[in-house]
Amino acid sequence: MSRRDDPSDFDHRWLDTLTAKHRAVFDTQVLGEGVPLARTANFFAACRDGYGAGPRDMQVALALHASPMVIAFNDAAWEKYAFGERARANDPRTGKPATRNIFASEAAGDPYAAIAVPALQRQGAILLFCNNVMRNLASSLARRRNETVDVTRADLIASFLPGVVLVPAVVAATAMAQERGCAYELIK
Amino acid sequence: MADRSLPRRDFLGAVALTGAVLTRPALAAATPAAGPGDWDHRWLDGLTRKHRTFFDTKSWGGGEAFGYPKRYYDAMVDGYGAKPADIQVVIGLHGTAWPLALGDEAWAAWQLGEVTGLNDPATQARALRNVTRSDEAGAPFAQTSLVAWQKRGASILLCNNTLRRISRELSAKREGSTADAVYDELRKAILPGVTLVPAMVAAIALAQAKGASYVVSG
Repeated sequence: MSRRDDPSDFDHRWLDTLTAKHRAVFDTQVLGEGVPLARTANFFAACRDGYGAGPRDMQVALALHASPMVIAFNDAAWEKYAFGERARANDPRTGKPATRNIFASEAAGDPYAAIAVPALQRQGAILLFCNNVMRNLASSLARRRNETVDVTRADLIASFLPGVVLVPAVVAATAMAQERGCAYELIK
Repeated sequence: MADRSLPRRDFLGAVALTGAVLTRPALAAATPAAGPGDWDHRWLDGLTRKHRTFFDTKSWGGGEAFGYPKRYYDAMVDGYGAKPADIQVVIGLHGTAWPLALGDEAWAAWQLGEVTGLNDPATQARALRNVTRSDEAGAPFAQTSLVAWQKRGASILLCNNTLRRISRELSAKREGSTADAVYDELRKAILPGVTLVPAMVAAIALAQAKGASYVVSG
């Protein structure tokens, strides 16, 4: 039996950064055509253009679990773990399941260039990854790859995009974000 | 333990006191509204712990109704170092989650195992008792049962609008019955400690006004 989690296993600094005037936590449960990214971009645009918010007045904590979790990983992980197949996300360059994170690419011509992860992070997005999801994902991938869970888990965490934060559980992180004044929205 | 399931004053009694003629009380449009004093608001007044979260629970959800709050609870303790005494969970049952708030008599009478899709491990057939209630060793959902949640200090709420709607639907299935009669029957079957609230949509808003976080669950 693995040991229980401990608060020191996690980096909680993201909570202390939740100070922008307009801040929300998005509980993302569907990926679709980049729905979590599009909703975040819409939030930023509406705050800026519709409510006159300044560039540092907005923050969105994107709580990734269920299918949107693939957004959190780099290209190497997408290729290694076939996240394109898992997410049913085709690469427009090849017409086949993506072997790179098309949700993180700002390259001209890519489908999510304008709302890609780095673009949203520059505007105030914080990506959170659920440790319960990580536990299940590492376990299933380790089985398939005949690796130990610890090895796979370490590799997955090392494959996070810059700025992605592992949280004890999305359900608790969304509640804690609300304690810090974030509005809650379910992206479903 | 005091039964917190019923409004403080019996609803029909309140109507009688006002002299209103109650012809079809199950229909909201024809029913005199209950007053604020007819409901038990103690769950709301008691929302004072440091970490308080409302779980908006519309279905059994394969166990998520009571399981998702457990993941919150465990993560708060193990991941954020919260003390159990500082954690307060409210589970608001509405939509199709209403059977979870009722006792065995209602489950048997209305075959609520069929409604929820829950089997009884003892019979391997659709449950004719509320298998989500008990926290006794060997119970199918012991750690995530309704009683286990109550022992952790959680408030379990049931939506009166849902109960009214279900009463109308069920009465159509029983010849000679009325929505009122079914409503009374279901209300009597509400489990001890469960609080009937006027409407979940309002309870959710009021809980947030009291500083509770909000999570969609189940």
